[in-house]
Amino acid sequence: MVKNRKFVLLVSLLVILGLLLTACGGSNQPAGQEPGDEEAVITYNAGTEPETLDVAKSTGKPEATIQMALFEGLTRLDENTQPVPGMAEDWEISPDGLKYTFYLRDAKWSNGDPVTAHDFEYAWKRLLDPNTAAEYSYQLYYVKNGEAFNAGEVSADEVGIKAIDDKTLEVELESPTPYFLSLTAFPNLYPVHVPTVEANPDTWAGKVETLIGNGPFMAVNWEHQSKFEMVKNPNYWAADDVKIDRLIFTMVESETTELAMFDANQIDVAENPPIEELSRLLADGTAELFPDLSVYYYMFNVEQAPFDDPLVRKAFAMAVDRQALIDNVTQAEQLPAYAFVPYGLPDADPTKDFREVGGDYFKEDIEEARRLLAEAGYPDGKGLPDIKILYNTNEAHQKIAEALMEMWKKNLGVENISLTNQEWGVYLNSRKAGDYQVARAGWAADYTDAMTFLDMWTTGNGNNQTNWGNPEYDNLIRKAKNVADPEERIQAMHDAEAILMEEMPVLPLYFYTNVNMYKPWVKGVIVPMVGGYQEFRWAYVEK
Amino acid sequence: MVRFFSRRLVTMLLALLFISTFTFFGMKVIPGGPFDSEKQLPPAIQKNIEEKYGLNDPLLKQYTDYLSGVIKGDLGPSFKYPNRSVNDIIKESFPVSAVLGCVAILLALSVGLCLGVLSALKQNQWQDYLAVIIATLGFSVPSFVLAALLQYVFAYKLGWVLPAMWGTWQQTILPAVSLAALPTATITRLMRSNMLEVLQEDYIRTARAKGLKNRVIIYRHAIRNALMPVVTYLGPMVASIFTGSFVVETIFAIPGLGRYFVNSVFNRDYTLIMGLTIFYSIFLMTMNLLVDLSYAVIDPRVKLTGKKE
Repeated sequence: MVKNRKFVLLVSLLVILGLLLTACGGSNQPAGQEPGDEEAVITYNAGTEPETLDVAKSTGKPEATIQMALFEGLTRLDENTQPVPGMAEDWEISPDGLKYTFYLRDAKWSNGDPVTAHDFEYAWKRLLDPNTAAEYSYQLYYVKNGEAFNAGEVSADEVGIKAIDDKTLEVELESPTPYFLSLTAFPNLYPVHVPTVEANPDTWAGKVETLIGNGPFMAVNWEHQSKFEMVKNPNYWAADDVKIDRLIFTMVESETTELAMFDANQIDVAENPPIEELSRLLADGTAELFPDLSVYYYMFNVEQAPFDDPLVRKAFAMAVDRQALIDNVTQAEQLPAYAFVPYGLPDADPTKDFREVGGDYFKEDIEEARRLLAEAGYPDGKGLPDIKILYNTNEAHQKIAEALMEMWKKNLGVENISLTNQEWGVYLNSRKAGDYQVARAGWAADYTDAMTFLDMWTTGNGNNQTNWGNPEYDNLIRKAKNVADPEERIQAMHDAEAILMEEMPVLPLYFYTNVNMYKPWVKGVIVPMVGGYQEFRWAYVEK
Repeated sequence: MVRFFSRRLVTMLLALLFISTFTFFGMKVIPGGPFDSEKQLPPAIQKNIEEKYGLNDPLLKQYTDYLSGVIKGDLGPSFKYPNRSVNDIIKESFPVSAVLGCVAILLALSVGLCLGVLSALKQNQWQDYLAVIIATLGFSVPSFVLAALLQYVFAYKLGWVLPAMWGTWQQTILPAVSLAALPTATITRLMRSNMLEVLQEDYIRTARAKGLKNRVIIYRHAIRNALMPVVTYLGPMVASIFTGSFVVETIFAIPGLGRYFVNSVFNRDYTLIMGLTIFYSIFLMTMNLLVDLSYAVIDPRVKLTGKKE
C-alpha cells in the first residue's frame, strides 16, 4: 500500500513536471539575430500590434506605417505632404476634374511579378466590394458609382475604375475632387498582388510569406505583439535609392518603457513620451514637435439645456484660456484653436494656408462671455441647470476636463458643473445616442483638404452628433463638393466654417502636435501631416 | 476513481456552459461594439460589416452559431485582428506567458517554501523577522510599482539588462521577479503559519518521543503536513500566473496572453473575449482537479471516490 502510494505520487509529480516543461519548452526560440554594424538598421516603436495589414481593411496608424514601408500607391507623399510619382510615373487630369488617367512605370512586386494597372483595378474594387466589408471603403466613394457598388446597388463593372492596358489606369470621379491625387498615396488605395489575394482572400496579410508588396521594404519576420521586421526590397523600382537595409518595428505599449528603451538605444525612433518627461525632452532637443492635422474640441448637444442656446455655447467657448491649458496641462506646444480647421491645409492659392486666410472666428473675452451668458438669461451663471462634462476614461482627458470646469466656474460663475467619465465603448455610445450635454471629442484629417473637417457637420451626418444642423451650411458644403473652380470651392468652405463658428455647436480647443524622438544618427524620416506616420522610404543612418 | 473523474467532468462541462453563456450575453449587454470608433461609418458600410460578421443575426442564433464552433474546437476569427483566429492568438501567446509563469512559480515556490519553513523553525529570531518583512513587502507592493522599479534600477540605472522585449533568458528575469512577488509572499506566510501549527501537533510529539531525528521529523512529518494549504493555493495561482499578467506584460512589452484579457474587453473583440474566458476556465478547472488529485497523494486520509460523504 505504501509502495503503491509512492508510485502514484511519483507519477503525478512526473505528470505535473511534464506539463510545466511542455509549457516551458513551447517558445524557446533564440532571440532575433542582432544585426551587424555594417547593416543600416532603424528600430521604431510602432506602439501596438497592427490589427491587419490587408490594405483594404486597415484603418489605423500602426498599420499604415508598416504598409507605407511594404507598399506603394500611385503616388507617395513627400516632406511637404504633397503627392509625388509613385507607381504612377505620370498622370493626366481632364479639364472638368472628373477623369484621371494614370500611366504606370515599370515596377515589380517583391516576388518579381510586374505591377500592372489591373492590380490597382482589382484592389480598388475589392475595397469597395460589399463582401469585403471594409470600414474605409468610403475612401473611394469619390469614384463614379463607388458608393452605389458598396451599397450593393450596381455591379463592379459600372464602377469608374478601368485598367485600359497593363500600364494605364483610368478613373472617373463623381465630382471634381482636388485632393484625389493625395488620396492615392494612402494605404487603402494601395494595389494588391492579385494571385496571392485570390488564393488567400482572408489570410494573405496575416503571414510574411504571403505579404507580397511593391514598396521599398519587404516583410521577413512578424512576432505578434512583439515586433515586425522588414528588409530592403531588391525588386522595388527605386531600390538603389533606399538606404536602410533593415527596419524593425516594435510593439511596446507602455510610454515609460518606450522611453527607457530609447535611452538604452534599444529603439531609435519613438513617439509620444510620457507627458511628465515632455518639457525636459523638448528642452534638451531629444524630442521634436511636428504639426498634425487634427483638432481637439468639445461638442455641445444643442438639444439639451442650457446648450440649446447659441449664446451660452459662445459664452463657454470664450471663457476658456487655451494658452494656459496648453502651457499647464497638455504641454506639447499645441496651437490654440479659434476655428475648427487646423493649420497646414491649402487655400485656393495652394501656397497660402486655409487657416491663415480664414483667420480666427472668435477670441477669449471673459467680459463678453459674461455678457452673453446674462443675455441668455443666466446672469453670473445663475439659473443654469446642472451641467455634466462627458469624456472617455483617460488621464489626459480628465485633466483637460478639470481645467475647463475650473475656468468656467471662475470666469462665468457656473457652479453646478461636474465631470462624468465613461469607458471608450460606452462613451461612444452615449455620444451617438445624444445622451450628453457637452463632451470631449477629437478629429483627424482623412486627406489634405479642409473638407475633411467640414463635411462632417452637415445635417444628419453620422459624425455630427451635436444634433445641430443648418440648411445654409449644407448648401455651402454641397456647392464646395461640386464646383470645379478652386476660388469658389474654397470660399464656400470659408463661409461654411464661419457659420459653424457663429452657431458654435462645437468648441475648438487646440490643434494637435505630434511629439517624435529620433536618435541623432537617424536622418531623412518624413512625417506627413496627415496621420503623423513615420515614412522611412527616404531615411538613412549616419553614425 | 472512474466515478470521481466522470463526476468532475460533468460538473466541469456544466460550469463551462454556464460561464460561456453568462459571458456571451454579458458582453452583448455592454454598450459599444467591435467596430465602433470616433469616426462614424456610413450606414452602407456598417451594414456590410454586420452582415459579414453575423452581428445582425438574432442574439440566440449568434450564440448557437458560436457554441457549435466551440464544440468543434474553433473559437472563431478575432474581430480586432481579422487575419488571425482566436485559436492562433492563444497558441502564439500562451507559451510565452507560460514560460514566464514557470520561472515565476519556481522562484516563488523555492523562495517561499524555504523562507516559510525557516521562519517557523526560527520563530521570533532574526530569520523570522526577515521573512515576515519580505512577505509583507511582497504583499503590499503592487506589481506595477515593483515592475517599474526593477526596470528603472536594473535596466535604466545599472544597465545590466535591456529594459523590455522578449527573446533571451536575461529578459525573463525582471518580469519573473515582478510576477513572483505576490505568490512568494503568500507561500511564505502560509508555510510559516502551517508549520507553526503542525509543530504543535500530537504526532510530532509522538515522533519526537519515538526518538526520531529532528531532520526526519521536519522533512517527513511537519513539512509534508504543512504543505496542504500551499497546494490548495497553488492550483488557482498557477492558472492565473500561466495565463499572464496585463501589468507585467505591458511594462516589459512581453507578447503574452495577459494583455489580451484586458484589451479584448476594451476592444469589444467578442470572439476573443469568449475564447479567452473559455480557455482560462478550462485551465483553472484542470488545475483544481490536479490539486484535488495531489491531496490524495499527500494526505493519506483523502480518498478519491464519487460518493458523497
